[in-house]
Amino acid sequence: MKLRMQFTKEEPVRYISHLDLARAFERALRRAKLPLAMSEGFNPHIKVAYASALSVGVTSECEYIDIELCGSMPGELAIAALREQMPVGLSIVRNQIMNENPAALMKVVNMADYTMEVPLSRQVDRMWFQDQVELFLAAPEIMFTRSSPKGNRTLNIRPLIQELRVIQWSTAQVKFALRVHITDKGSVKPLEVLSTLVQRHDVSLQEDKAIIHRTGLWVFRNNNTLSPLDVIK
Amino acid sequence: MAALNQEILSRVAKPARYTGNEWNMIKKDHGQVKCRVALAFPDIYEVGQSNLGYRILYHILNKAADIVAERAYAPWVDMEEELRRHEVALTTLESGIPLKDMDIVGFNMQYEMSYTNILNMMDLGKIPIWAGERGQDDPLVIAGGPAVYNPEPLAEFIDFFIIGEAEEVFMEVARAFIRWKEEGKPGGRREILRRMAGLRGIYVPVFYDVIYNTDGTIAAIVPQNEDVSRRVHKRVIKDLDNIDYPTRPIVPFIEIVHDRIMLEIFRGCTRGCRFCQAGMIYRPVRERSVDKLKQLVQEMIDNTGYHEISLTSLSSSDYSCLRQLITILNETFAHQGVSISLPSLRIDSFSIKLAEEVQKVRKSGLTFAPEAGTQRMRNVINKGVTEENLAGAVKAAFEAGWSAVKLYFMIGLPTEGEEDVRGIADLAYKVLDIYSQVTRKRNVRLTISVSSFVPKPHTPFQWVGQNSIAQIEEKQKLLVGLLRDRRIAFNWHDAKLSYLEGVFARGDRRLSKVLHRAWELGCKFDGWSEHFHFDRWMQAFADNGLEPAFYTERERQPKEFLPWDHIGTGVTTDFLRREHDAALAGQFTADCRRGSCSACGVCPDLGVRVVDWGKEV
Repeated sequence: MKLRMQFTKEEPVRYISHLDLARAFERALRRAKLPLAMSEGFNPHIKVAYASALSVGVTSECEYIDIELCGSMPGELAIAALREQMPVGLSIVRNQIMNENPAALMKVVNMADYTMEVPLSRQVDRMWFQDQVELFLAAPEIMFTRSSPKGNRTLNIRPLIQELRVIQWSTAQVKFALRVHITDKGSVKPLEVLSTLVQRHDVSLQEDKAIIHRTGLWVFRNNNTLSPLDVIK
Repeated sequence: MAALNQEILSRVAKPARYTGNEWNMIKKDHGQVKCRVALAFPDIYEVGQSNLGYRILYHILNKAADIVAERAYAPWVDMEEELRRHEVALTTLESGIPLKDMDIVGFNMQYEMSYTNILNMMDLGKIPIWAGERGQDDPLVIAGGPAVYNPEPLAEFIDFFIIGEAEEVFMEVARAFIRWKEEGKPGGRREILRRMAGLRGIYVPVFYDVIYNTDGTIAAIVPQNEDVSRRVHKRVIKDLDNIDYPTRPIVPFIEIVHDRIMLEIFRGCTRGCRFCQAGMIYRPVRERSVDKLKQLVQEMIDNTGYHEISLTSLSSSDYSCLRQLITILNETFAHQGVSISLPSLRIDSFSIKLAEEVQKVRKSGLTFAPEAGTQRMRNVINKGVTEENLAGAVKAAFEAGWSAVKLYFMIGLPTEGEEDVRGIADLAYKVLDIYSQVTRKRNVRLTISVSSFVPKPHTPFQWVGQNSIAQIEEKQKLLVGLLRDRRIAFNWHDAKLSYLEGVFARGDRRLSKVLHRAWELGCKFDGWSEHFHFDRWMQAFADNGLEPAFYTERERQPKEFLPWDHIGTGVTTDFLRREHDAALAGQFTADCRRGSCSACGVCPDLGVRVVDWGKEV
């Protein structure tokens, strides 16, 4: 049976990577002594899947994991056992037993929401600032170059940005809400959106001091924003 | 480090190295605490967190309600730059307390080329580097670990050294500190050091004078008064079954060097390989019983969620009940998906059955250490392993399905000639041939790893001259030419690094100025090739008028007072000299566990004995 859970990644573990998180989760599952389904072959491993990797330095209130269990164990017992073994900073929020075989999280999740709190390096007029953001979004193309050991790749990230708006303002810092698409050709990271904004518009943001938090991972379909816990196919 | 802010952490590689909060981390309220210890490992988190000795001490010290032990590691170069730029001190992981505010800061002397990191961490922790400059409010800076058996190169930086196994004596140190503090710190620093010198196994260098001859050798190292013993003997834990073992080790978030359950099955090794310092300093052999080990494993699996167990010791295939242990571990834990790994195996006690037992759940690579390429050379170093043994072992491995084997060798051994170096290549090709014969295939992966021999204190070879850099590089070149085969991966160690290791391994107190100068010139993380600056080291020697060859290439005279003669391992100098002479004659000395006593002196001297559960091998 598949257990789908929503969990958080909080401040104490902000700087672990997605792989670190997956390892920590696996060990918590083993400590909880859940009847985990194991893969066959030379190097058996547990069968878990995630929705979308979360970057180092980003916290989240809405991460998702699918865990395959063999044999039966009442969901509440499993969750209670697992909760006791979760490290500080990782908490289970909700869970759902998926009775039919659900579509993979990675396939159905296609939208992410973030907040970004960014300090200002000097005082800026709010109206002017918001005009800059509008201008930024008005561009049909926003090119960004990603470097990797395999070489550089330049892509247009504008189509991946669904929404970017200022939700809080003070003389010292700005808070944005950002909504991006997650496609099978990839997504865009909040820091990438910020750095292109700063590159193209002289907005006095100290983007290396940005505090980023994922507030939602969604299955967006037919104009509805659904939680992955409610989506089978 | 709690004091670090998000700005710094977002700028460095692998910030999780510095943020702690791991499963099983111990964070105490310091209100009840009377002694705060920082366990400081002079390398990055991934290396230090793997260290078993520190895991043991972290556990034992933290068991006491009035003592707290917290961890500190060397920040990587990018983090160090941030710390210095923002004027933030190096702090402990658990509470973010600067090292200078801890009561005791303990450094691990794991490797001679980590000494610059020790100085650097003191500097970053805002502790005066020279011991003589520390005042009332500065912490006690102490050190222990394998290299402590020659503490002299660090003697001017360390307040006192723990010689031997620290499980009991570290607690005695903490209690002595608490008593002194509660008495109002009478007599200041001098007095607490005097009290520590009264504990067995503690060496306080400031109470000893080093007297030099005109030729630069040492005439004597003498205590300044009768309170302090002429020779400091190591501490030994007699019964490992009844000493605490950390069954709740910290489970790191990030990948570390040894990311599995470490199960220490025994301490010591009595094979008597003449180059091996560990074999001399960890005598006598003391095994844990199978029942105890099984209990420890269950607890560790429950407390960590790891699924791999490493059976750790100096020579795990020599554990007297190994087959029984592995059978029991497999029976109990294989269905929980837990696998067993063995570090390097002795070739002569290996067998197919053992191999198959060990890797029932998951196959990993196999490692053997022939150490030398010819039988003559192996006899000199007392590694009683024959070519038939090796052939039998790899044949058994290949027949059981392994296709990856790693072999360890050394070059630069005493009496070594060119044919001994060529012998390494000969053995490599014999192994490849055996693979072809057994499998009729050519997809074997053979790794030949050749290190450079560094003579170590308290071994039969402590008097011999170390090969020069040129000699080693010539031998490496020869091997590169001989081992050109797609199936062979040949690894070797930087000859210059091994040379410096030799200087500090057998160095004296005068090297402190060289060490300090090298650090001033920017040397740190010397064991990392991208940060090793041999030219700066040479400058540090020149600036202080000292010649590295005096410490390495020079052969020591039999009657010479060696810089570590005032530290006792229990093994007598007579024994070492006998073994030295036997080596030059190519004679073999048997393991005292199963053969007759070779009179090394450890058992009568230290009141201990070999603990061997003596079942079938």
